[in-house]
Amino acid sequence: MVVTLVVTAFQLLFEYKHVKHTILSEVVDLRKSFSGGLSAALWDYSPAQLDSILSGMHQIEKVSGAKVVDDQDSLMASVGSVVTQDIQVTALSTMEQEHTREIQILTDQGKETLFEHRFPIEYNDRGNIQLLGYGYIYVNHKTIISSIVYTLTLIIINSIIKTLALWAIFLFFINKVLVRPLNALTAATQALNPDDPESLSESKSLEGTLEANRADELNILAMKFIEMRTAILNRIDMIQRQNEMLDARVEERTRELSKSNVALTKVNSELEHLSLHDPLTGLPNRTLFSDRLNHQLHIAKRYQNEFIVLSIDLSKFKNINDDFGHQVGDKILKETATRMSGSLRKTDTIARMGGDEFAAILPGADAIYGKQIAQKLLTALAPTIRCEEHSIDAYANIGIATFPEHGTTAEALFNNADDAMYQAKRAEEGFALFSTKVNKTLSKQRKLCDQIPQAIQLNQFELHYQPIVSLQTNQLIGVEALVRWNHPNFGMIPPDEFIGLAEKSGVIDQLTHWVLETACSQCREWQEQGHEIRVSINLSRRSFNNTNLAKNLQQTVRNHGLDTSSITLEVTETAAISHPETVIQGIEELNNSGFTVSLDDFGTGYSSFSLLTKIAIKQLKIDKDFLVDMNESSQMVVQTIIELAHKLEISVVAEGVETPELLSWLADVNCDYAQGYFVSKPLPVETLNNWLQESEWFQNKPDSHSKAA
Amino acid sequence: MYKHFKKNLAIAASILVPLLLTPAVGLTDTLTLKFGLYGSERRSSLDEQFNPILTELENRLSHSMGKKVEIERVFFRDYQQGLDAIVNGDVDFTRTGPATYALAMQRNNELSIIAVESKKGKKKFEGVIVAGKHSDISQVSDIKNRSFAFGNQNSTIGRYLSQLHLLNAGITIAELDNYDYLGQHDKVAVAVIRNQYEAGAFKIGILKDKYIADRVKVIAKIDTPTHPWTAREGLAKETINHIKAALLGITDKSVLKGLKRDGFLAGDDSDYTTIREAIEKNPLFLNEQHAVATDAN
Repeated sequence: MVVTLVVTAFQLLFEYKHVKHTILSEVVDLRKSFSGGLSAALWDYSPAQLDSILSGMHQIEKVSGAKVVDDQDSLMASVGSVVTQDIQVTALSTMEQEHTREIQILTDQGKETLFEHRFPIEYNDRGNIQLLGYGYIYVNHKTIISSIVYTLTLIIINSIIKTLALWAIFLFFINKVLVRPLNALTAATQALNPDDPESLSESKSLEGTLEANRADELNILAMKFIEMRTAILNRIDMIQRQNEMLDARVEERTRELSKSNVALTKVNSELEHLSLHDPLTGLPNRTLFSDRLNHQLHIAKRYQNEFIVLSIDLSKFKNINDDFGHQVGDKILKETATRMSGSLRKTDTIARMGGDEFAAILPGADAIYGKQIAQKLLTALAPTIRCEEHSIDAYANIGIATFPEHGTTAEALFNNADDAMYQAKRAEEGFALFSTKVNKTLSKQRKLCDQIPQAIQLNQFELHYQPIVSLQTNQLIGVEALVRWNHPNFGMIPPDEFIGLAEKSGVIDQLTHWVLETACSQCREWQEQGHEIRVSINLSRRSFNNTNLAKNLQQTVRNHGLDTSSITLEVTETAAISHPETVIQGIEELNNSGFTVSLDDFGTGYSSFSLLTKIAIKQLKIDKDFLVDMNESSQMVVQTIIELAHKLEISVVAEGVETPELLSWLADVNCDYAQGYFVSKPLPVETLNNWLQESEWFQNKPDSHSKAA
Repeated sequence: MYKHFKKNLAIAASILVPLLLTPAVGLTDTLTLKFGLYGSERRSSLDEQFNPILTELENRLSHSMGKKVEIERVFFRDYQQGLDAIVNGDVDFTRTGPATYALAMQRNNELSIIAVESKKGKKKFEGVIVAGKHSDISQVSDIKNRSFAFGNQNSTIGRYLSQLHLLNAGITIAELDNYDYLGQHDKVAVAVIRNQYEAGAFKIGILKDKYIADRVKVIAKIDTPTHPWTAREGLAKETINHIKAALLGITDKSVLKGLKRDGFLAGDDSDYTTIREAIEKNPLFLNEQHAVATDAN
């Protein structure tokens, strides 16, 4: 900036001197032009002509004034700014030009600087040169400044015009070379809309701005952009084709899934029904009964209504099974269920609680009505039942409990009705209303339960083993250990009659421990005999209350020199549902300890397939109720369970296999294992050992079951 | 038929001709007078010089004569044409130099002076005979055998009176080394200043210019009658009197500025006796006795 100013100052100074010198030189020359005229005018003494000449001189731009004086220095004519006797001169200086000096004068406007050139006016009168006077030409300093300003203005305007022209040319080329291509590139880029593939093909304007012969970076960039866009277009086309193919596949799969969903919905509906109903009799099961009992309790409490609960047990039904087989037993159950449900109102509920146990809820009924209904039920069951070639009489024992007299909770009402039923059974009275007397009788039953530890000590319990065979290899792969109580007074008591009480009283743990010890001991014995027979042991729900269950069981098994893989632990589906977190965690620990955990009675609880994904089981056992009187729906359910279990890498055991047709069908649908009377009923160890010696299953004869069929 | 036509035409003419010949009321009241102007100046300068006084004269005449009076300016290029116009009655009145008046009267003595111009309240002004400032000429007689510059050949001072002065000093044109008629008074002055002529004669007003006054010296002064305003032969006496009264009444300096006079005075032919004498003696100066009659004609 300073340098520029200094340079500019020097330029201006130089320009000033140059202009001043030029102007004054021109003034000197000017006199030559006018001296002749002035001489003639003065010689003729023509003031008018002098004024005219001076006016003409003053017309010259650089001349600010002029005057003529005579030889006596008297003013004869003047024009413009001149120095006269009236004007105060403040400074004088001679200049390099001839007869020229710089004069500073004082005017009304202040100091003013004039350059004065003086020249003689002479006349040649016939060879005689006469001095007539002097002419003066004045140049105002402002004229020089104005000239410099004018020159500078011209230079500046010239520079501006040149600069603008250069800029215009520069911008033109910049616009052509850079801006237009960049704008086109930007516009093409902005036109790209990721959501609109059409925008890729619409941004064609870029091609128009490209020059094929140019090879600058911008052109290359634009070319690459077009190539990229083309590539994207191709990719989009490819993606669209793939999407169309994918959509077609999805649509196809959706149709398939829709069909599957219909089937699954149907299956789920069946499962839901089965989970809430007894598949054999079609009556509500324990779960639905419990739900309805609680519902009835709420209503009765709210409206202060009465209702009664009946506990119904078929007498000596086990004998029917033993004598005539389960098929006959099941038909008896169905017939009795039909007769009992037909004897009740539509508003009443009768459910099969398991085995030969039934229960009913009679809303609005009191004790008297309850007795009438009980009698009605007994009457309905009285006629002999014709089953195949057998004539069978079914008897029932019915316990009655009333709300609110005999209990205000579902558990109390049912337990008291159950106690009344035991009383009726013991008294062989058909039915009994709950009373303290009944309770006392029940106490005796509980005393029986209390005898379990002692019975263990006295070896009154024994284990029966029911074989489990592989449907793929036709080999015996294991046995399920089932406990029996050989009571000195009551004879052989089935587990249904004491397991429940044992669980309630807590002695089940001791019993489970005895079963485990006995089964392991037997398993070890078989292994020592060279038989690899896996033993399945039922675990009570209560067992999972023990946080060291896995550790204790593992220790017990090892104490017998066994590997945990030799033992399969069965847990009922109902137990898993009722205490899911505890059971799931316990199963996980057992699984981690090497045990094979099997989900027993699958299908009897109100569960869904999602349970299988939550529990670390390796095996499930389809409840035998699914396999009795199979129809198309139950076949679909069993088949779906098997397929689903296999997808979850869970093996499947079919329970209650009593016919060769069923065994063959199970093999066809890839069921892994089978257990049931067709293979063998539960056998005492001595009998089983004999069976092992004789059974084709154990001898691994590939055609054994087909022979049996 | 033809007889009736002639009768009707005579009737129509008797009615229409008087109507056609009778001017409108305004026109009837307008009097147009022609005023002769001459001089070496440009026409515009003469018009500018005389317009104020002629306009004033129109007003005054219109007022005094009770009718509109218009003065038509008639310009002539020189003395001679102006002289001829008044002599021949081409203009109604004119302003002439004293010598021109005398010459005109020689040709037509029916001309009459309306009024004479006043110079400082007098009917005369001065002319001068000058020499160079540093000339050795100190009196008129010293001019003998010297060069002399005259003005216009018809000029009162520039010729007749100055030549009379030279004649009276014993100098005729033959005793002049050189002479010429330069036409204008200022040119005579400049010629003397530039030593082109050693002496010269011009009206005294030229010496108001300091440049000239500083460079010449007056050798002699010449009394000269002022300019007369002359009426043509036959102009109505009433009109002449109205013009005279009007001119004598003008005292406004702004009106008189162009004439460089201060007013008008009553005058007559006797005021120009001197110039008439000078004209008559001029041939003596010229040594051309026979030529006097020619010039007078």
